[in-house]
Amino acid sequence: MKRFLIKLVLFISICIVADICVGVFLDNLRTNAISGANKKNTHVWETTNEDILIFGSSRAFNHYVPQIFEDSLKMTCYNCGEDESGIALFYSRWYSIKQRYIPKYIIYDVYVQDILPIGKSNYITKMKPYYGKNYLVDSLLTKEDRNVKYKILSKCYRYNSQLYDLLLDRFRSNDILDKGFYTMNKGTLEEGKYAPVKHDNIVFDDNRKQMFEEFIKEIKGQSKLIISISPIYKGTDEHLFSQILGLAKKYDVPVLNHVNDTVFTEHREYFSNPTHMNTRGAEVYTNTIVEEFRKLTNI
Amino acid sequence: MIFNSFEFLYLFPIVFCVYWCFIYAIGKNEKAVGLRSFLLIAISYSLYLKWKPVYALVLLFITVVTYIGGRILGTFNTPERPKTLCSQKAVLYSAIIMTLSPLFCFKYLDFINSQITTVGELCGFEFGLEGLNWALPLGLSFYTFQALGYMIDVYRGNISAEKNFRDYMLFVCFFPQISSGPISKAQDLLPQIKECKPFDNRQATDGLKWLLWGMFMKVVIADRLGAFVDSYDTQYVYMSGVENLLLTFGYTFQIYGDFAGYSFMAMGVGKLMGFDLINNFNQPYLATSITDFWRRWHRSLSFWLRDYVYISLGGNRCSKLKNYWNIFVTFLVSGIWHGANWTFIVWGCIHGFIQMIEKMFGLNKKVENKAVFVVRIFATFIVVNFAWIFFRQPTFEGAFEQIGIIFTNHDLSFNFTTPPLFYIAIGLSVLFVRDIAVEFNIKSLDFMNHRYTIVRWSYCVVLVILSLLIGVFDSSQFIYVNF
Repeated sequence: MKRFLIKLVLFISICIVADICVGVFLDNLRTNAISGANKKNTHVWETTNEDILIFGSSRAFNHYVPQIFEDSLKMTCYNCGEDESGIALFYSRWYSIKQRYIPKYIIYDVYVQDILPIGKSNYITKMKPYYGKNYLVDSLLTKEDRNVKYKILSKCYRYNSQLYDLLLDRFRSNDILDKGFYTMNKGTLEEGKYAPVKHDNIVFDDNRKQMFEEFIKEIKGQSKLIISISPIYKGTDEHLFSQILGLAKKYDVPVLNHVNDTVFTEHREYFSNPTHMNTRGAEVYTNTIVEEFRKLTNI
Repeated sequence: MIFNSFEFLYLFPIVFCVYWCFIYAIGKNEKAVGLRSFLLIAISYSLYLKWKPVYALVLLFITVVTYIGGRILGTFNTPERPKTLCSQKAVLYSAIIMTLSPLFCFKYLDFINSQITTVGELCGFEFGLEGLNWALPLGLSFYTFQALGYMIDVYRGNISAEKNFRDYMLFVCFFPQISSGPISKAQDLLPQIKECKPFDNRQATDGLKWLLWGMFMKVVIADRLGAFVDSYDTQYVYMSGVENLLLTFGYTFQIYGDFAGYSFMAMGVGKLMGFDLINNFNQPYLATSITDFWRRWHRSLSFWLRDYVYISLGGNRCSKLKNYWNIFVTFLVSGIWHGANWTFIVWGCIHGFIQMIEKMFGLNKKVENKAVFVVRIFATFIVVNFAWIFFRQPTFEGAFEQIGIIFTNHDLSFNFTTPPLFYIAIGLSVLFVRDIAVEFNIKSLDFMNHRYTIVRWSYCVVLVILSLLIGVFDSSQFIYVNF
């Protein structure tokens, strides 16, 4: 028994050392990423200094072209949007960003997912490397999984399912992201292939709604927040956004609502799928937003 | 207790320490065996109660019925009691019916009810019987079969009836195997329960290795493939034939990783507690025929079906035609055991039918020619793979639709995202090397049991790091727990 226990302790110790070494190596890959999602994630958490930041999930990621903002407004812009994310990620990112600087404008493209109790884990992946460095990240991750504080002790676990992207982003020189923006160049929505977007029997997550409210209150005093809702092919029931729009009204946050704007919603040539616009749609939409932004801010 | 859960990570070391400290404290005598059994029963029932406490009554019911059944059946085999075969059979059948009744109610009643309703509607009778819709008690199919096997063995006189209820209770509820087997035989497990062995360093080390390998198979291979295959669950109709074929391959390895992973972990936990449980898997995808496949896949169930269904039907000591029929019925039972759905029944029938064909043409025999050997492995894998489609799909329509797409959609587009494939390729490569090494006894590639300590240790560390890096840690349930 004694021999077994000694061997077991030794094995666990070797595993811990290996875990730390591999973790340091992966940390290095992430912080030195020269392209892709890891470069973007590190930039958003650690080095952003742009005047305008775009927040939101995949629709923000694919619909807002920073270059158009920069060319039209003569201000720097970065698209911080992330696939399958929500308010939890952006609230905690905001906490890190404001430690460094306060951006002049934040455009938050909202979608129902922002206040839905969806178990998608992409945003958790983005937050895990910052566990222990940002108290909001700590509390949010703990809320998602009560055992995370133990799991995250493993340096490798922080990069669980990230190995491929870390290697690629470290060595791939041509960045597929342009100032954080990813263009959906997957062609045009095919006629009749997709049904209109509907979300029946939705139950909103009160915690996320409260988080969204706190986020608005936080930003209101420091930066100019604009809420936007980008178009959905053939539109959708605006009731889906009533809770978020209610919060915007309560705190007097301007809203650029294009969810049912027929300029976009009736044109399948602007869409890659019902909820995501393609390159052409993104450019037309960004130009529209820039014009409205200009009027709103008198720039 | 789910072996891949965080709960297991902190609960099992506690159980392990308490158990072995207890063994050291009580010493090694007859009383110690009893105390150890009580401790293991307490642990097993506590873990079972954590899930749905009321279902522990089902476990207890089956334990009591089969214990009493075994005792009564045992009396017929003693010299004092004259053999009255008819009444012994009556006792056996009564006990079997009572033992199977919870399984029937929880697993099959709703299915039979829905079939009766459908047939009634087809005949013009509109009636709807209320289904029970009860959750299936954890491991019910496994411990029911284990207890049944014991009773039939007693009836046949293969073993004597267990007199000690405490030991029998532990035989039925032993925690490493209760949720998904292996289905142990009384002659293998009961003697181990009755013997209080001291801690065996070698056995415990082996246990840890099995535990680690099982964990790797579950979190890196099965759950990674599960996430991949499930993500295309509703989209397969829009996908090409090649993509659909790859998805079916994905499930084929997912179910292997999942069930073998569980079984290896159960074996590992058993060894760490001083028990040797049957190895349920023996490189099943390197089988050269479907007959060979069933000697390697879920071996404890195969043995059970062979001993208590196939042999009971007459086995091969009968006409050829009857023998083919016996094979078919045995695998029909296997299909029904897996689930109350026509898809499982068809899956069982496919396996039974192909084994009949193999037996007819002598394809179930060992192959000497290397080229034929490789072709047979490949062909068996493909047949098993297509049969799994019926196992996975909830309906016939879905299964036939997917098979149809594979054969008719010749579009070669490949739209899978790369990262999951990258992780899956790593996991499958490790599995492939290990299975090849063990199957063909290539010692230099069997890193887990390599003669150099540094290789063995390094390999185990690599498995741990790979699990942390590319494993899926969502404590997802094992597929076979549903059966």
